[in-house]
Amino acid sequence: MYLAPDGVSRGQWKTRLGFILAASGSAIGLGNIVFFSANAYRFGGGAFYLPYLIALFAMGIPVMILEFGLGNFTGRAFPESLYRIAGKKGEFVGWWAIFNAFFITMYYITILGWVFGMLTGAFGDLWKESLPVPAFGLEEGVLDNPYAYFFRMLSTWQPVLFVLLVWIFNVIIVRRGPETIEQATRIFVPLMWIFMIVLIIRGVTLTNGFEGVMLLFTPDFSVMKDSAVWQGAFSQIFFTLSLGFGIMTAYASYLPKKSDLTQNAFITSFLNCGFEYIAGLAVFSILFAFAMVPRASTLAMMFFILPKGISQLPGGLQAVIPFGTMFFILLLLAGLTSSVSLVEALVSSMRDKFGWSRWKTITVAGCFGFIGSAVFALPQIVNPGLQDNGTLGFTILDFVDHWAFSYGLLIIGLFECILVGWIMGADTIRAHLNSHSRMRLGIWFDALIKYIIPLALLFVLGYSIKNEITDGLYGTAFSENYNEPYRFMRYFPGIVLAFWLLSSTLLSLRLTRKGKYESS
Amino acid sequence: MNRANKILLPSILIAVLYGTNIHTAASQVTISLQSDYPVHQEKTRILVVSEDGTPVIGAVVRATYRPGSRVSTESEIGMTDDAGSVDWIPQSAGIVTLSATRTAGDSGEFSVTKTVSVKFASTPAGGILIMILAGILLIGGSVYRFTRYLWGGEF
Repeated sequence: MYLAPDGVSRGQWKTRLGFILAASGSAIGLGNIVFFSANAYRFGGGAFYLPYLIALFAMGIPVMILEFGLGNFTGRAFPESLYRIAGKKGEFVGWWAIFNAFFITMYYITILGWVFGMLTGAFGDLWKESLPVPAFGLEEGVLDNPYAYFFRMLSTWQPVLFVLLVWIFNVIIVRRGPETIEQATRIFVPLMWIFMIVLIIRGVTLTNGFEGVMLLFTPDFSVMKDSAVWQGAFSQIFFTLSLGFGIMTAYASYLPKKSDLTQNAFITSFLNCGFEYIAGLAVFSILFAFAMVPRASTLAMMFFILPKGISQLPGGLQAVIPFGTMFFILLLLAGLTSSVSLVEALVSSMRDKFGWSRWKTITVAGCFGFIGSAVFALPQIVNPGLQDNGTLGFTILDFVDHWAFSYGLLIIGLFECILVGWIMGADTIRAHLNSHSRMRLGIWFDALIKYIIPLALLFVLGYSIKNEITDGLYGTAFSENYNEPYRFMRYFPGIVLAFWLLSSTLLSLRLTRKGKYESS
Repeated sequence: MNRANKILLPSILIAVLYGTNIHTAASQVTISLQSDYPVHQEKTRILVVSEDGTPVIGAVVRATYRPGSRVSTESEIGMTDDAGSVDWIPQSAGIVTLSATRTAGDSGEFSVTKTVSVKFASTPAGGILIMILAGILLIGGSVYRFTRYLWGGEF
């Protein structure tokens, strides 16, 4: 039952380096560049490294090993992998993960469209002190840049065009699966590291830039008794390593059987967290040098706070334009290497189930994906006072992100551990992993997969649900900002939650029941 | 709202940011410091003046250390004197938001803020230690594993 079909027929990585670059490129996304730093600031600076490293070794790397092992063991993408170890119930979980990830793909590509828009602005308008934002009734001089540029862009149809371009990039990169993904990541990932190193050098050489680095690492251990810090560290690790999307399983399904999966998981995780570490140096040096308060939000950090810092670099526009352009290209590259992995996870899952050609699958995924991404870019103003997200698309994006990202991935991680740990048997996957790995996993791996990680995920989920209950459903707190004629937006928190939950569940049920996998 | 695991989005945070970047009448009063980069435990002088340079008397000045974090603390520095100034000894290094407010007075009510970076008095040993340890583990781990991989065959 557990024998995998020949992986070569589905495509295969040409080299191990190609696989490592693709997997680490998937893990290193927009959040790595700015969100880790924001979390570290929020949770006590250097003190945050303790729960972060515990979460990395106790949960992040083991789940990465598990996802690699699952894909390589079955030679299939996430839904079929889970089907082969747990039957139809497993397949349902797999499809649910893929549809949840598809929601994330759609809005992630919208955000990349916005990054593209900011990149075009980085050649000029973005660095003006202020701009008029007519859709919100704001004249020039009322709202500073980059806020003005961002909301002016959001209130037009321009981002839909950028979203289309980003989808086209994605389609081009995944057109021949691992082969073309490997070609792209061989260029993009090293470029990301080079750009980040240049930003670090610029940051720490600013007046008092190194003081910012000290601010990042100097610990305040008083936070350690705060359960929010541990919750923040465990969710940070889960999200930053791209776990629970089905990506790593799909990528590992293209590896030869004799791969050293444990070693690969360690390399991928260290590269991801190492990138976060160096990104923190760049971010904190700029924040401190220009006295800016970090925010625990990737979008706020990358669209407002860091560009604001870059705009103050000494040397005038001659310095600001190149560094600003480089910053947004860095974001675009990091986002693209992640979004192609999300698209590939869906494409490989669909192909495994229906045996469609790659082009047909990519066309279907690309068309539906573009429509979804365009919804998140809708420019209708629903919050003219800008007390909140401003446009309809941005507001929907905010709600979907909350459920799909903050809950969906953790739920998948929990079920993944239960299915592999308890139904397939943690010892079975461990035997497979150890058969070709130089680093042998002990029985501790079984304990982590069966008990410790599920409990940690339950803690994180429970903590979030508790807050949801005490604070009210996400989004309802600021629903009073919606007045006539946008009063209908008050129902959106509930509508979006119901839509996300029902559509993921019903589509997963439909695909689970439809057709059968070929027996291996 | 629980924002601890909020990866992507700002929602309310945008409103907060927007609030700090919109130009209103309140911005006619400004806060300035004797030193651009005050130093932890070293006395510096805060000056609150109106747009025409007139000192603002009787404004209450507060400091919020590490604003927006779980370790944020707030303390009152004092009230501005006849010169519109008040002395301040920063209680910790890092990012600090200073606020000056006055609820009543001849020149009316106002509330203004200014964010400053407070330098460390000396290089913090704890910060250096964690930077080195985390660097060895994460960057060193990457390099070590990558090197082993390069010498370790095909896949």
